[in-house]
Amino acid sequence: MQNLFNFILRYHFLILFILLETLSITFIVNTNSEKEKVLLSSANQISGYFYSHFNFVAEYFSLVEMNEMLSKENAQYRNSFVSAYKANIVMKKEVIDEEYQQQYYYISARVINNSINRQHNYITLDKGKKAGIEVGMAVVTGDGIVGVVRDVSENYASVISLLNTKLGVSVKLKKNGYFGSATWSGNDYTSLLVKEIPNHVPIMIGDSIITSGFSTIFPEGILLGTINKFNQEQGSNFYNISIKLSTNFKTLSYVYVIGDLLKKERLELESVEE
Amino acid sequence: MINIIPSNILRFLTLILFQVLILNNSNLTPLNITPFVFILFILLLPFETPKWLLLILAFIMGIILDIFSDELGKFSFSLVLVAFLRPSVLNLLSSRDGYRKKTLPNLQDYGWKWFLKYSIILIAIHNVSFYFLEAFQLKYLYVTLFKIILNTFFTTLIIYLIQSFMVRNRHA
Repeated sequence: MQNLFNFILRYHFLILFILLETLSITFIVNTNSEKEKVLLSSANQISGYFYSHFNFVAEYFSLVEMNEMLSKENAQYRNSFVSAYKANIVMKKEVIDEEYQQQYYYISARVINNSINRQHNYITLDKGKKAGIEVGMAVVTGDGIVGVVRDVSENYASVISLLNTKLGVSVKLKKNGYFGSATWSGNDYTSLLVKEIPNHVPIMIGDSIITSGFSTIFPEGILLGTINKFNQEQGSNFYNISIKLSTNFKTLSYVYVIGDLLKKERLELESVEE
Repeated sequence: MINIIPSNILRFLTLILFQVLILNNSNLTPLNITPFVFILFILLLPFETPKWLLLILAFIMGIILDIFSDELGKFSFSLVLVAFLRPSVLNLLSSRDGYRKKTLPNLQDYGWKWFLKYSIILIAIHNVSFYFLEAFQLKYLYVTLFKIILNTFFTTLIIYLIQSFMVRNRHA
């Protein structure tokens, strides 16, 4: 016992070092375990609270871009007002309620923390469970898609950014509907890689890439970006496509979280097959 | 000597706030690199700091930074590594008569040559550990190396500027 005590006393620096590093490594390795999620979501509560109270410091630096984006968005909405159109129709058609059923609803939220310079980037929003946000909802801006809700607490939500190598999105070409999947390469915050589009499909630089709607997360037809580079790898049947993102992740400030009212029904139907 | 504890606590808090609120803000940093100025706290701890306290302080700081970056482990691992190697680096860089009493490992007491060597070594250790943990593979080796070098440069630059600013303030 005496010996053990002496040993610990003598090598306490090394022992403590190994202990703390092992702890850190377990944190890194268990990123997706339940325990980690609980830990992170309570940590999220703290950092979320902090960010929402001190965000004005960071916001101050991006006021110009934020104003620009909001006024642009305002213009877009003004364009879609009824008053912006001259009515040419005289005949009025009766609308039956059953023809249109609301499927998606939008919750507006503010970005209180955002990063673009890591391999796994996350975004924190200032709304959570109380506002109706749930895990797995899509996050978009007026320009394009942003990410998927990963975790929610009472008042905050943590979002996996599109700029995260862990996230893949099902996409398709707008002009002919061929579908593939988009992931981030981990380096450039303005571009994304699209794979699995077969190389017999005619594509051109500038073609729009939109969400396919195959997953229950993103509604169909939301813009991701436009093709800015593509090539064919030898021996492969698929293109390597690089697209320029339409969302500017560097100036993200207000986003919309999309809820799907029919998601449950669809998931139930799709799980029957198994 | 009595001043050391409050001034270090103050430095701890200021550096974390500076990092989290201003430097981590993606709108500010050029070339997509966030300088890790918080390392200055570990650099400036007094020579006499007990080794175990070094590790504990580094771990606490790392965990706080991890919480604010939404993924646990990376900062705490890298900072504990820096704290572990700091005594050896100090030994390596000491002159023949060792370090004088009542001095701190800073620019003012040991000159720019010594301070640059000292800070570059420890910052590079931190960045190598951090960026390789982040990439977790050798696929993006060149990008990772590029990031390490660029970040070490910027972090050292900012830390040097902060230090020289403090020296001038004290003389004035």
